[in-house]
Amino acid sequence: MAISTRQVEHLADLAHLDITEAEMEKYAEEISAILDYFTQLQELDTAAIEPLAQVFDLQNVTREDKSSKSGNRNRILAEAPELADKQIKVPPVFEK
Amino acid sequence: MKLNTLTIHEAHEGLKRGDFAATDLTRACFETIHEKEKELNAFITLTEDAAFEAAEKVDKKLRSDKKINLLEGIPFGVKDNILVQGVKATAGSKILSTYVATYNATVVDKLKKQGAIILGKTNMDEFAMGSSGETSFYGPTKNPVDIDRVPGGSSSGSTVAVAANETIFAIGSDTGGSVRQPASFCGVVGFKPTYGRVSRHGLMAMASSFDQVGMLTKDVLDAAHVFEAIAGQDKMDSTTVKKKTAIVKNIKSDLRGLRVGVPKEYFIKGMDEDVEKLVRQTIEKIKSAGATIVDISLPRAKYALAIYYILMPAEVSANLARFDGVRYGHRAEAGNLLEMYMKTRREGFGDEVRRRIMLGTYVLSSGYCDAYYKKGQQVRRLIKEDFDRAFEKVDCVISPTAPTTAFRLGEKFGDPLTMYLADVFTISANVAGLPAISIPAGTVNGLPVGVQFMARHFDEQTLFNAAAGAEALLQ
Repeated sequence: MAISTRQVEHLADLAHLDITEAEMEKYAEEISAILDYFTQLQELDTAAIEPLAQVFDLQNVTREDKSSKSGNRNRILAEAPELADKQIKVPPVFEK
Repeated sequence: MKLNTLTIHEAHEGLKRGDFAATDLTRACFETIHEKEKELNAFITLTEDAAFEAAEKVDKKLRSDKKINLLEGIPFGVKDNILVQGVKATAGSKILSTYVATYNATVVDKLKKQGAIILGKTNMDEFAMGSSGETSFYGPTKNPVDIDRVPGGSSSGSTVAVAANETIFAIGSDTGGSVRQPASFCGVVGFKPTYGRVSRHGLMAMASSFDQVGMLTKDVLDAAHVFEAIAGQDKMDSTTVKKKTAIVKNIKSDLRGLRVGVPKEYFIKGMDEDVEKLVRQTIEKIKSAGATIVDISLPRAKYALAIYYILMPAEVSANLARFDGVRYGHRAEAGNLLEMYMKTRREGFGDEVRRRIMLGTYVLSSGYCDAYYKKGQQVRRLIKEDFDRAFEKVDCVISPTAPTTAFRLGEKFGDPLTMYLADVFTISANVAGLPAISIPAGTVNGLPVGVQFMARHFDEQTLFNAAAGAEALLQ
């Protein structure tokens, strides 16, 4: 199963990763090799098998939907790269 | 006797008897750290002042003849993807190079409350993605047995810190073998509890259906002590369950009557012959000590590596979406928001992380999701069923921890798929959520080799019985 540089470019866009042309070729080659390794799974007939997402029988763990104070608002805000009046500032969505 | 070489239980006895003070113990660790760090690079951040402050408190308590907890005054290292409030947490990545943790991980809270002393944050593969310690933005960690070789990964720094006696113990994380495989390469004990045993609150999520907090220690008893200290239900991690965790007082190292399964699929072609020989000798010793050796088959276990490299990157691609330069960490200069995201992630993430994010994005994308992600989850069930069936006949399973001894720095770095094979024996415990431990079995050409035990879900007791019994035979 080979993946093209065009597909890698698309994946990088989807994942918000900016990659160069040279990297696209490198990743296409490496990811293709990994996908090749996956083809062994076709030996297994899994048509009737329920997918497993949880390794033991734990289901729908819920808690009361109640707000509480975390007590570390200032510490959290202090981590933001840019603040404006206690709000996190980001670059404009559209160029000016 | 150098204090930093002690185990937890030895150090505790020494503190209780008044042979030395907690500050002496902490000082012995830092002296070794300052002597060896230039060469080993096991730590990213040291918290020396806070450590001595905490040690002073323990000494004050000892001077007034108050009783101390087992872990009180015992120094430890924390893998850098586990949060310690007020201390930098980079996870080995550039994208978090400026990030200071705003709260404590539950495991850190528990260990601190019991009086254990944090020495610093240990080096690791970036976001725990790597099997050699080489993907860290902060430079590779070296194997103390041979500094031209890798220590394994991803808990590279935690493992090396223990192996080089820079600390008494360390905590790490294990998503596909990240405490056991380096433990095998460096000659220490690495233990991954059952999925659901230990809270991951404050552990940076990599692949949430596999991630578990683990520990690196100098012997099996220490691993059990740390396990008891950190296990338990936590409302901040809904996968944790309420279960009895008293292990130490029930450890029974007598191997007579223990049924130990040897899966034929774990002795594969391409495995180092001398490693295989050593593991087989260990199995013989266990047999001589009275254990019943049972040949078993886990027919679908050979697919564990393939499905792991589908499911794990899928979860990685979702979990790492949060690193976008908005709320914390590195932010790139850019004219608009989308460009900021793209540039931040380009500058902040290393090669292996980007590769896994793209692979994960691919296996989840429309048109491929059924062929990869769903197939992976179906095979995951088959592998779990293989183990369920095996555990009807045996109490635990023994296998090599890794197919080789520690390889040379750079040897596999350029070939991701070959690197992934280093985890071929450890991954299935995460795929099935089982508890697993690696203990030193001896050396091949001077390099450590580990053997791995796996047991039923939540049956850490049997796992520790087997490991303690085997450890006694191997010493």
